[in-house]
Amino acid sequence: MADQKWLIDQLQKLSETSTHFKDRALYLATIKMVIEQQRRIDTAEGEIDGRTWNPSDW
Amino acid sequence: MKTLIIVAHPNLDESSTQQFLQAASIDSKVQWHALDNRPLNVAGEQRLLRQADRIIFQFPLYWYSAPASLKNWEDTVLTRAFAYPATGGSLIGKQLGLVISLGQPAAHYAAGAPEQFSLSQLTVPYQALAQRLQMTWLPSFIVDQFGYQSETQKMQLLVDYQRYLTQPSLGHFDGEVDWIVTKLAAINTHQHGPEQQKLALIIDQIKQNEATLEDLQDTLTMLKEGED
Repeated sequence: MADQKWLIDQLQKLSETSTHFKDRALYLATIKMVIEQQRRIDTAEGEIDGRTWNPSDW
Repeated sequence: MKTLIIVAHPNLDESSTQQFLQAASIDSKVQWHALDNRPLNVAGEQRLLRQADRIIFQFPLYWYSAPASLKNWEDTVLTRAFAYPATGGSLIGKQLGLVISLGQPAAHYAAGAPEQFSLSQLTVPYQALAQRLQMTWLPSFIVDQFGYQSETQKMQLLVDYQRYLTQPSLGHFDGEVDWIVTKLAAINTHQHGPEQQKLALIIDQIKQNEATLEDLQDTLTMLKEGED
């Protein structure tokens, strides 16, 4: 999660400091993609937990 | 993968939407081809089509269809000998997509909304064309109310449009990640010193996330198989 915050912070800084419209657009789109990437990781981890904790195996 | 954009617009130079899209489309693998009033060189048009893997018809929606120049182009260029699978089949396996610009909100195009009909319904003739010529139909890319968009919205539009033109596997998140990583790497070839190192670290972290997600999905697949 710390890596994720670092990643988004760096991309945010790049989007603010870049002077090229296309580059700024790419950095902002990357932030959106990274957030979605993390959401998918969280969802997959949650599903693995759910499937692993099968009450019939208790 | 090569992309050909066939642009049909009666006042191209006066369209801020099309000017924006043209600037966004600049890429060595993308060809911008605007239709004008000159007579069509059929052999030349067909050559362009043969060279492309993804073909895009791009136009503003006029009376629920494309401007007349596109229909004229279709009727003139897509000859039976060239396009029909039985006699020419030059477009078999290629992708066909539409980029449609709208003056109204895209949400107006739905049953019960002001325009009543969806864009999927209104574009059926193009879908039929793709089906008849054994092309792969792409979901349409809609640009609505460009003039009202904020700078942030325009930046998102720019990247989404570039992806629509050049991302090999559209609609797949893996494809989006790979496309973005490739673009970031291209930017980084022009960076120097600490900036270059920072962007390299960003790219590495995105790739690590991608690998993590892939591992988790493999684990899930195994778990599901074990439950069956």
